[in-house]
Amino acid sequence: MSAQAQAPRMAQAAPAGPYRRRLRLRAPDWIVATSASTLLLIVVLGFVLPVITGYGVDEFVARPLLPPSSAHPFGTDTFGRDVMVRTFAASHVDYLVAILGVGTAALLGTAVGVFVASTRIRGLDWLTMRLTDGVIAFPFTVLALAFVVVIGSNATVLGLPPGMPALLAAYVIVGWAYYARIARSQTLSLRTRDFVTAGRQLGYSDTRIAIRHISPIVLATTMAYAVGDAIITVALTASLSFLGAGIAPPTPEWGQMMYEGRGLIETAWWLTAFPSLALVVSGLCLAIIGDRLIRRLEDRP
Amino acid sequence: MGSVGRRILRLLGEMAVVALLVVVLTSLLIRLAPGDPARTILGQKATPEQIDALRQQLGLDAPMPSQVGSMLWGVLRGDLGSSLVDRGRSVISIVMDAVPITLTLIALTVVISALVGIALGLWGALTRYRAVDEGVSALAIGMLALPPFVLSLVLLLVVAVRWGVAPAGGWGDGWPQNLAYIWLPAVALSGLLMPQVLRTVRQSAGEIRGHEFVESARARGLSASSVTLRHVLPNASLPVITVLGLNAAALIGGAVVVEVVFGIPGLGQVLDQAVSARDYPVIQGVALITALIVVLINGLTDLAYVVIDPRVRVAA
Repeated sequence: MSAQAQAPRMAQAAPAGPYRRRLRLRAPDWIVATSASTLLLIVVLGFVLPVITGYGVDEFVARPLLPPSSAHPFGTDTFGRDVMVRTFAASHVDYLVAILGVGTAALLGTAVGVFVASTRIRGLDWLTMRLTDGVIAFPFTVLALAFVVVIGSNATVLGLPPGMPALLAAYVIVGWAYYARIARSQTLSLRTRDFVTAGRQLGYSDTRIAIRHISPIVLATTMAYAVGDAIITVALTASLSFLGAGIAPPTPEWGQMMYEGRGLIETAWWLTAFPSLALVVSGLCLAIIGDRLIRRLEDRP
Repeated sequence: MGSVGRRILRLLGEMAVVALLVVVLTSLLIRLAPGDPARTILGQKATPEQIDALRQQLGLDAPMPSQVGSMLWGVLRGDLGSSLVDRGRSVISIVMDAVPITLTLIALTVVISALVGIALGLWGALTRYRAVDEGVSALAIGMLALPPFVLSLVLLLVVAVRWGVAPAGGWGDGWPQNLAYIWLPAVALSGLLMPQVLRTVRQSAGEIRGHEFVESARARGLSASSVTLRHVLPNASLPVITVLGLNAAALIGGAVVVEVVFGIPGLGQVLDQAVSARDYPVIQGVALITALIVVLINGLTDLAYVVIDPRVRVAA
C-alpha cells in the first residue's frame, strides 16, 4: 500500500501494469504486424460488410435463428438479423469505448501523476496516493453497475450509443488512479536524471521542466500501458453488457449479443460463439501489440 | 518497539486512512450523476412525492458534508440503510448473507490458481526445452484474452452440459454439497488469476535459479528435485502473495460475473437483481463492502510480506 512497502516487492515481481494484468511474450515482428492488421481488418469489415451483403446492422433480413449458411455465414439471431454483419459492426462500439475510456484515463492520470511528483505542496503527494489506493479498491464491475443505475443506461451524450456514457464515466473515474501511480513513480525517477539537472542549471522553472521535459517521456510509458489495458476495457465492456447493464440494444456489442444468445446456447450456438470469438481474437491482438510497445520502452536506455 | 512492530502500526494506520476514503468516495458516488439521480432511478412514471421520498432516503436533500457524515456514522453502526425493493430488509443483511459465498469462491480460486500456476510456472522456468517454456507462456497470454464470462459459458456448456460431471449452475442446501456447485465456477474464475501466478513464478524462478544460494545448494550435492523443492519453490512462490493483493479487486469483479452465469447466490446475484430492480442502496452497499474487503486483503498481503520475508523485515 505504501510506497515503502512496495519498493521491496518491486525487486521481486515485475512492476505491475494498470489493471494488473500483463504478460511478457517474445512475439516476432510478423505476429505483431498480423495482430495490427487483424484489428484493422475487423474494423474495416464492420463498415464494408453491410454494403457487400446488403444486410443492415439492425435490419431483419431473414427468418430468425437460421444456422450458418452461405447466405448467412454466421447464421441469424432471434430477430432474424445477420450475425456476421452485427459481429463485425460491434467492434466499432467496443473499440471506441476502449479508445475513449482508456485514452482519457491515461491522459488524466499522467497529468495528476506528473503534477503530484513535481509539486512542492506538502502532503499532496501522500494524500493523492492514498486516494488512488481508495479508488483502486473498488471492483470495477461493481462501480460501473452503480454508475449505469445512477446515470441511466439510456443516457446519451454527443451522439454516443446509449449506455456508453455511463461506462466511459466509470472507466475514467477508476482508471486515472492506475496511470497516476505509474506517472508519479516514473516522474520521481526521471527527476534525478542528468537532463533535468541540466534544465535546472539553465534556469528553467519546475513547471517548464515538468511539462516540456518530463511529461513527454512519461506519456509514452502510460500510453504503452494503455494499449495493453484496452484488452481489459473491451472485456469489461462485454462483461457488463452481458449482465444487461452496458451498451443498450439494439446497438450491437459482443457481450450484449452473447447475453441475447445465452439461453439458446445449446440449440443456436452461433449466437454466442462468433461474438466471443471476435472478443477473444481482439484481446489476443491487443495483448501482443501492447506487450511489444512496453518491451520497446523497457529496452530504451 | 521493534522495527517490525512500527512497520505494522504504520500499515494499519494507512489502511484506516484508505478505508475512510473508501467510505467518503462511496457516499459521493451518487453525486457524480448529472441531473437528478432519484428521478433516473425511479424512471419516468414516478410521482414528485415518490421522488422526494427517495431523495430524502438517499440523503440527496442534505448538503454534501452531512451526507458523507451520516454515511460514516452509518458504517460505524453497521447500518447501510434499507433496500428500496425489499422494504424492511437492511442492506447490510442482504450483502452480508452473500459475502461468505463470494469469498469461498475466491478462496477456492486462489487455491486452484496457486497450485496450477506455480506448477506450470516452475515447469516453464526449469525445463530444458524452449518449446515447453514458450508453450506455457502462450497458454497464459491466451487465457488472459479470455474474459471470465466467456470461459464460464464454455465450461458450463462443455463440462456441465456435455460431459455432465458438474451441475449446470445453481446452488445446494449447504456444505459440503455446495462444493459440487462451486468447483466449476472457481475453475472459470481461475482463468483470471492463474496466468498471472504462472507468469510471476516463471519470472522469479528464472531469476532465483541464478542466485548463489542455489548454486551452493547444488554444489553441496543436493539433487535437482531437492534444490527445486527446498530452495527455488519457496522463494519463487513469495511473489504470489503480491499477485493476490494486486488482483483482489479484479477477482471480486470477476466473481460477480461468474456467479451470475452459474446462478450462485453470492454478491454477483445480489448485484444483478439490484441492478434490474434499480435498487441503489443495495448497489451502494455492495460497492462499499467489496472495496473494504479489497482494502483489507491488500493490507493483509502487505503485512504478510513484513512477517514472512526477512529481506523486507531487515529493510524496515
